[in-house]
Amino acid sequence: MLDLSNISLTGGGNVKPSTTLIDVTSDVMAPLPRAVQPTAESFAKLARILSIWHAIGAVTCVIGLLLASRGGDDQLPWMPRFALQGFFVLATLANVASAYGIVTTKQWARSASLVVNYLLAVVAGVATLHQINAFRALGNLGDGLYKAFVPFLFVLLGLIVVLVALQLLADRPTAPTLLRVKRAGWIFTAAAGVWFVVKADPTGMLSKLGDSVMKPLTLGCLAITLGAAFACRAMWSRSAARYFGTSRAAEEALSGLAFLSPNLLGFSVFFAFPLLFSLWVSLFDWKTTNTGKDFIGLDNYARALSLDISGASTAGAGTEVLKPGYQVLMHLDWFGNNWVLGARDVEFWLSLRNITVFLVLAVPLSVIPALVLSSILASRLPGMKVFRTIYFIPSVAGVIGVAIIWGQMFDATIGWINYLLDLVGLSEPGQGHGWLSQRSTALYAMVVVFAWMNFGFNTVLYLAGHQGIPKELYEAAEIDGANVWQVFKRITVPQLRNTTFYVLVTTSILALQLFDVVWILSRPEPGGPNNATTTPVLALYEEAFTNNSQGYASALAWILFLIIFGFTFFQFRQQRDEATSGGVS
Amino acid sequence: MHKRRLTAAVVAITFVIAACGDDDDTTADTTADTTADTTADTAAETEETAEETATTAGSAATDGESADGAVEVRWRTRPDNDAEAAVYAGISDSIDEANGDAFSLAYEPGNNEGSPYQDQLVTEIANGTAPDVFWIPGTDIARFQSEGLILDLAPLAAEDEFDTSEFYPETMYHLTYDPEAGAPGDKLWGLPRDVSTFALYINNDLIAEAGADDPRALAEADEWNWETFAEVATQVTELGGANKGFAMNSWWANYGYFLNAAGGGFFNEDRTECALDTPESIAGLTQMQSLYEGGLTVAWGEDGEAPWKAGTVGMFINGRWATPGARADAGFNWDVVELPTGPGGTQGNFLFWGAYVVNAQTEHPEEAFELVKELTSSETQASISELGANIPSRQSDAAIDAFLGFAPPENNQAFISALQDSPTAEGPLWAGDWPKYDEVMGAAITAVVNGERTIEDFEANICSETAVAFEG
Repeated sequence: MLDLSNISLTGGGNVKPSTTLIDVTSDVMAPLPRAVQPTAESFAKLARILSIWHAIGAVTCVIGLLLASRGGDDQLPWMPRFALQGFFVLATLANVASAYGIVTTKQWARSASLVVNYLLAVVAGVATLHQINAFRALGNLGDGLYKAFVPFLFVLLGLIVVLVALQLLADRPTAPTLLRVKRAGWIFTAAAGVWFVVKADPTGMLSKLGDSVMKPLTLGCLAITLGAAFACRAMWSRSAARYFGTSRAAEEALSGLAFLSPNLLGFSVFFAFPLLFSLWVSLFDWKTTNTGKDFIGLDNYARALSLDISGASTAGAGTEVLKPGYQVLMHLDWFGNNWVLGARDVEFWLSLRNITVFLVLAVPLSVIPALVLSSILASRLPGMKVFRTIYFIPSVAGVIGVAIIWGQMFDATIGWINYLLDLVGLSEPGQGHGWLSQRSTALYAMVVVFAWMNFGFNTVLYLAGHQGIPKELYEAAEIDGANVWQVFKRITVPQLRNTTFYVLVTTSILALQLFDVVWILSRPEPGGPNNATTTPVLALYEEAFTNNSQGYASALAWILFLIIFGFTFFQFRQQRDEATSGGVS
Repeated sequence: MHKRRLTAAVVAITFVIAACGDDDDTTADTTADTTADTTADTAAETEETAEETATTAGSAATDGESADGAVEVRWRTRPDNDAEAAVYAGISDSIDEANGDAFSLAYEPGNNEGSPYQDQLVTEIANGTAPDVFWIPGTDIARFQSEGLILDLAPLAAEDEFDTSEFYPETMYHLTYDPEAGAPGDKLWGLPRDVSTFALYINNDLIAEAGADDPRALAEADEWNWETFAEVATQVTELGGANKGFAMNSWWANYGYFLNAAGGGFFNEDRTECALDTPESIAGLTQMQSLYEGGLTVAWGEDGEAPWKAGTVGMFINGRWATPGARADAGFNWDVVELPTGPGGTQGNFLFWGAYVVNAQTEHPEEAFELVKELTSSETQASISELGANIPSRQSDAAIDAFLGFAPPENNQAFISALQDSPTAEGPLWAGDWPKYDEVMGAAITAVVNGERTIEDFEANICSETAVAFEG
């Protein structure tokens, strides 16, 4: 038992000591002192109002459900209709449950009511802001500030003067000079404010704001927002907690949820919902331009993954030996027999081949040099801080800009790489290799660009890992007479195992999601030459926006997700196995 | 705490006032003021104008109403550079002013040449936020029509008794095409913004240094053909070093020229079947491949424009849109000349075009059609032609005179001559899927030129490979 009798909650001396004890081990909250405690009886009246509020909510949701389900000419398309029906059914049930729970004083009713009203307040609040064009005004903010930027600066200047004066007045409250400065600051701020208002001229939008606020829909949204906010406030109160006998654990859970809610809402709306929606879309022949949405089940996945292999009488046989709808992926010569491997989506399979090659080359090139470089940079040699910055620059440079510069360097005719090869006699003028235009080298050129862009960041990660290696290990190795290579192999590499794991995982995911570098460097034929640099993300982008197949593109995205997930899972398992088998963790 | 609250309150009030202080009307005024200066030459000013207009577009109402409730029509083009964007912004303001209170305009410059203009447009259409009027390339007309994204303007044109006969018939063939009838009919999908043809951008200094004949003189003497072209290319290449006789980019129209000039082409007459395997098309491809095999060209797939601007390429094939860049960057004596005539008896040139079309979801079709008419009027086209990047889509003397007066290049007539030499119109594939056809064809051509595939294999299989574009 914790005695709170001598603890002041306000910091002042006006609170009388109380002898009330709080049992921190109890599940149910102990009562506060009677003097500061709203009575459970007073909340009972509020509870009746809240139950009526939820009953009205339930009726409104039923009306909404009926409207969403209406037939006739103005019937909604099935997709939004289904979504709205689901929403109204859930909302009705939640309101009915909340109303019932409040009337019967169920413990869970408080949580249910809080969640319903919180979500309602957020939705109605957003609707209200939309109705008064608040989001559009947000877009105008930059232009408005630009128009009245000078007076804006003067307002800030005046404000700074006032704040400085107030700060100094805290120590010398009656200093006449400071009082005069404060007054002058206020006058200056006010004058600048008037100038600012004249310059920004908000009359047009304020007039529109007045008009939009007075619309019934806006007023309705506003009323719901305020009502829901009030209901939240009431339910959040201690008297409500006491009325419903809320346990301490439940109270803490609610507080935790309240803190999490902004992030949770953002995650749900902007991440989880699109993610699950894309899974839904992948089951349809869904056109980007809304011209068709036919349910086709897993056909998109089957189309992407279907292969056909057929024997051929001659080498180089074409599509005629494959099933209808299949294109030649590759010719195989096994033990003197000719085979043709076909796929329904050749480009996707080629993209998988490309990304596998890319992964195998790009990840080591991004990781191994970073490991070596970090070991050099971790030393206390002079100038290392400058080099750390230099190597980090590619990581913060814009991908598009970097790719364009590399594109110019790779240019066959006027590029720096061929020019340098000319200088050292490895190439002849005018006969420079087309690094990006030849199938034999295009993908490798992308590997170089990717590695160049990423190894700097990986170096920084390794440098952070170096900070965690005990210096005693190096000192002991030095005493034992270990050379540089032995120290690196026996101490640095094992000690950086966790960092290496993290770097490998993140670099691999980046590599598997390759898009931007290829998009820029392979123009005007994205993925070219002749699909030599097509990647899965590029393929799904083209399906979604060039071929207008949002459903198929979503299926490709989920296949890619499964590949990345599987690959990462495998790496985690490897890491765990190594750790449990005695490796350094 | 008091001071923090005070600061927060003052800053918040200031921000609210600022946010309220730039409704559409005032932005439009700002834009009008700024774009009035669009004739100024400085890049900084034109860039500023483009940014201003982009801002205007960003704040334009998507519900088709401006701040005062009047009808607002949003429109978009794909300008090739900031200067062109500024010209369009100026034109938008002029039309806006001339319209009086009928409706107001909000201009949005689309992405530049290298950015996915159509991808963004399609996404906006899907979300219901696309402009009322927008420009699309000629190859996309069928795709946008078949998906119901653009409005048939024929009823509005009939009501207005609008005459389309001044536009090049090759473009109007596709813009009046009735997919159900399989032929041009009583449809109107839009009006052409401008047209262009290919020409050879020549480095006169390099050609003279090589001692080769002047291609312009050869064209004048009617001796400009594949043979003389190859001779000039060879002589320039023989200068040695990084010099090459010829360069071209690897997108469809470039190799299409060789096929056309040999008497072949991509499709049969009514564009319903592949014609890449005809003897004429194969002859064109063989000629092109021989140039690459002979080392007379910049490597296939490499950008040809940069080395031409760097002065190491004698002849570079490109459209009129490359002229502003050549004026800005070419530090040598240059001009343009017609494409050499092939065995087919013509230049085999293309007529490139794009059209202003009306969004099928527009709430203001009449106003949108009015805008399309204004944007394709002789006066508007003349003012755009003065920039040099576009050839007017109307066969009007005034507009063509404005175009010819823009120099360099001195030999602007090369572009106009191509228009009169039966060019193949850049066209949509009404019977199939052009992006798919382009994808399969492009990959196959690349394989042939890079020596990964024989011409015989190409001839035997290409039309079965491209059949996928005609399915469904």
